[in-house]
Amino acid sequence: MKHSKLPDLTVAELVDRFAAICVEQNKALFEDNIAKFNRLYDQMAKVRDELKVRPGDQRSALLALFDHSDIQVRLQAARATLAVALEESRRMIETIAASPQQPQAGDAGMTLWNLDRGVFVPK
Amino acid sequence: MTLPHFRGRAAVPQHWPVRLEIIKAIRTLAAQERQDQEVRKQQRQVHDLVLRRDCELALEALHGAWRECARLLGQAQLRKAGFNPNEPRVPAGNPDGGRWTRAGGDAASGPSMPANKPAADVRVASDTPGIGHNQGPPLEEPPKIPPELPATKQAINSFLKTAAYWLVSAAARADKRIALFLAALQAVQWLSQYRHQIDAYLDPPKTLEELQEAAINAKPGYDVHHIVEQTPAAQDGFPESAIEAPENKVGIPRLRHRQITAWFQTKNPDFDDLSPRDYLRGKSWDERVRVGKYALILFGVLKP
Repeated sequence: MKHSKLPDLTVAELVDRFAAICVEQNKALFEDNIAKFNRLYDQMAKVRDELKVRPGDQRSALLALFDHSDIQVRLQAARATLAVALEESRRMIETIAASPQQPQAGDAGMTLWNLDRGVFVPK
Repeated sequence: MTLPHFRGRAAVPQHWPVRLEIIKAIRTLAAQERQDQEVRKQQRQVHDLVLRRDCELALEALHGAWRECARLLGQAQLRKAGFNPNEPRVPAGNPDGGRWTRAGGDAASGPSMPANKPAADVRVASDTPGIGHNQGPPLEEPPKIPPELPATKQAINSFLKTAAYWLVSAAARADKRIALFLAALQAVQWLSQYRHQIDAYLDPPKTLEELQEAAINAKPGYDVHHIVEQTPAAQDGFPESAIEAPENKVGIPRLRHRQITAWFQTKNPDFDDLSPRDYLRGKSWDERVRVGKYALILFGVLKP
């Protein structure tokens, strides 16, 4: 993966990087490599935050990842877009929660629970 | 006139001792041939026996696989019909008893929706997104089974997870390849000592009492899991009597135990980019129990 500075990247490049990081997260989860997952999570959060500060809050560009083949990409994209496209993102999270694919199904179910009880307030 | 030379007659030795030697040799050869035939016959019998035993074992494996397959497909049919056992439901005796509440119902304190909630807020089973609702690509081929024991523990675990995850996904799609895959798993010698981990992963959700009972004598393929995580609870000053109490311990499938433990440790946007473990630091025992039990439900271990 190229490590250009995030402010230098276009929105499309940021979306691609977000997806690539999430694919690696899924691999780390499968390998039970928690430290690696958490490092990747920090990278993903920086990309998400960079999209947020772009004019017009460009996190909505992540909606394009809802058709991604990797369930971890779809889940993280849906959680990152809750603040800008609540209904669509929630529907995606509900779909993942109802799927048999763990650990993402459990993780998605927990997000719905946290949204409903106010622990998770998308911003 | 000269008689023609008759080669055949000339080839037969004229002396009796030589003839006797030849007869003896022929008899010896014939006896050896009979012995060889006998050995070959015995070998065939042994081979047939082995083959028959193999067939019996294969048949036994196939029967087991079909039983497992029927169980998984039965669950899959229920899911296809819209039944999701992981969703909280309105208790019996209620006007809406048996119907599902919102996906976010508080599992620890029971379904969050009061009995007099308007019917429009009750989500019926058919509203549940299921397979085909943007579930991603179609199911891949069954994983290849290593014929020999993989060299590293990591490689073994990797295969066990791949196989277990594939089976669950295949069951949800009512994929008919399940039976063959299960039979193939049973036929592989090295898997016999690990197979229980895959079997345990396929367990349906159980009641809390059943899980607590299972913690007393954890069977192969199962681990003892603390609903409220041990070390963080001890670090936050909760007494050992509470942490190690039978109420806090459940016997759960090892592969699901790893998923839940990993979930507790990985960062999460739900908790302001903290891990659930870090989020729970300083929180009450009740909140820890709530999160711990709900994790068991969402990871398919505990009945809602």
